Amino acid sequence: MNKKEVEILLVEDNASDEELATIALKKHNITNKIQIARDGVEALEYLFGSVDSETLKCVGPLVVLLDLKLPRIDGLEVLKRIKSHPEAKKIPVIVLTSSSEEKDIVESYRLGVNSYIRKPVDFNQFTEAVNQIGLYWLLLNKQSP
Amino acid sequence: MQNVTDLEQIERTVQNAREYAESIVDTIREPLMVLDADLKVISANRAFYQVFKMKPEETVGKLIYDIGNQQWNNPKLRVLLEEILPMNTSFDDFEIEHNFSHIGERIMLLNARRIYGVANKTEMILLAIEDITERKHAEVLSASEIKYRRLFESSKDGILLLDFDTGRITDVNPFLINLLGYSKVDFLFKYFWDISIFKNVMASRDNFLELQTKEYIRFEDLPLQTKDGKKIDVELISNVYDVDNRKTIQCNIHDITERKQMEHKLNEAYQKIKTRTKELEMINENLDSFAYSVSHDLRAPLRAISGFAQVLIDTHGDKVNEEMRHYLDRINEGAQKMGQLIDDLLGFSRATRSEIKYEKINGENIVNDLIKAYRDVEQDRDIEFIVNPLGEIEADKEMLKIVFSNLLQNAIKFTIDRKKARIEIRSEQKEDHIQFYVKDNGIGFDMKYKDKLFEAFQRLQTDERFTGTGIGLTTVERIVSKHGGNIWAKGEVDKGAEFCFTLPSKVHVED
Repeated sequence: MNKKEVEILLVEDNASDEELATIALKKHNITNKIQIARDGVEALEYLFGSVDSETLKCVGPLVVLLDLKLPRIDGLEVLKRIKSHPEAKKIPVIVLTSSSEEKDIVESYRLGVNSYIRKPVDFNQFTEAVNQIGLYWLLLNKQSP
Repeated sequence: MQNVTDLEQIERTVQNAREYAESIVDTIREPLMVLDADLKVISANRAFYQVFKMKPEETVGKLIYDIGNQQWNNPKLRVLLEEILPMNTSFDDFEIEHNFSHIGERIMLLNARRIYGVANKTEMILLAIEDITERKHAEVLSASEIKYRRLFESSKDGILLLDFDTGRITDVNPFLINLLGYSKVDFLFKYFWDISIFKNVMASRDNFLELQTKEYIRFEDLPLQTKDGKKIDVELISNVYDVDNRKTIQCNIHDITERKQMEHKLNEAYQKIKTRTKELEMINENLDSFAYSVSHDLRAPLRAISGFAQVLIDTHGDKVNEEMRHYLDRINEGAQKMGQLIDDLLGFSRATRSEIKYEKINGENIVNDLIKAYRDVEQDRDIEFIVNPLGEIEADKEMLKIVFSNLLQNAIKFTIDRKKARIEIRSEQKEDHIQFYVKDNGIGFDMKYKDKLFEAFQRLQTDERFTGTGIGLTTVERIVSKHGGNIWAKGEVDKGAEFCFTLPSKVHVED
């Protein structure tokens, strides 16, 4: 896979959610290349080459859609690593999670998340949310030089 | 010549008598004064001048009241003195306490007699003065000794007296005898460190030596064994006192067995509470992570159920007939309901677990914000909301929102078949709390079931239009009681319902 084509990194351990998110994005004509990471380790490896690396390896993606509850390294840790890296912090990160626990929301914003979406049960609401956020960040990214 | 000789003889006799009298007066150890009819001092004896540190020239020929800074000018004494000659009286043992000019605060005992001057045949007063200060003090001392003795005998502390130099026991009070079960003989004149009870504890002479140097020693908790083998705990405090220039050690022995037992029990209870609290904290933590998993993991499959059902309709809509669509809708609805149930359970769990964050809240604002949102959703219904001023409330804002939103949503739900729904919100300021009312003109309920209203998963309605998750009012009740308030409801079938809850006014927030 050519990494340069990747414009959305979807960090999601649940296959159903991954498929639904993909359908939702496609449904709204967001056909950017989507890279899937199944947990925090895969996400960090994709972005930095390895878990411990300090160098940003991947110049894409345009946006990271990040679940919080992930195997091995969880979403908050991934978010922290991205937002504390001098270059990687420019990548917009949208937390997309089932959790509506206040501590997760507060902590995400403290770490510098760009947006926080709670996955609704209703698929139509879900696609609507994915659509709006996805479009917004992709458009914003394209506008910045 | 004879006359002259006789006269001389007489004069000599008188002189001799006078010198004799004066020498007696002079040798008497008590101060004496002789006063004339005008109460002027004729003479005073040596003892007087010694005791009062005065000189004859300050005394003789002066009015008694004037001498020594008028220290004899005492109204009662005046009366007594001035009555002696005219009324032929005398007085005995008149006590006078006075700060005398040269000798300070003293107590004097005065006696006065009328005497007859042989030489000039005039009446005079002999005033005898006795300094009884020391005797008086001794009396007071002996009174305090009696008091001490009484305390010693009746004290509810054991008291042991030791001779400071030898360490021998000189006295022991009844309480200690009773406490330890030994007789007085077992104690008296024994060396302190030889008494078997104390042998193992503070037996060492070192302790006694320490006491001798520091003059104070204290054992907070000394386990002792009484004669009949009972184990007791005492507190022992020793002090050194001077008694008649001889040092005495007083050991006060206080029975703390009961206190120790209480302390032990308290400590046990405290440990139990501590363990229990830890357990509860762990349970709470488990609940937290449980709630977290519920929130996260239970919703994922629901999203799959609802999502793929929807995808099926979206992508293969042309092949889906009415019946299939109906079933897919049912699948979707079920998933939605389950999602709602999970959300409500989480809300309930959160309301139960969370600490209250008190702040000052404007009640109407909360209610009006909620109503605005409901109006958007219920555009096709005619609902009249009447919001009266609710006053300033001190409560947790988020929790109070949950309370009002549940009560309002219930009111909206249960007035669904009214042409015009009427929902009124008001409050009343009571003495120490505010009482809130949410009243509707909906289907009401049977008061028979009023206790079931606030129980989890209890529903009073079978009509499908009214079904909820059965957790809303339980959550409301939990929040209200967490705030220290009460909640109850009044209603009648088909005649509406009124929910009342109270919140303590003015509790936590400082201005």
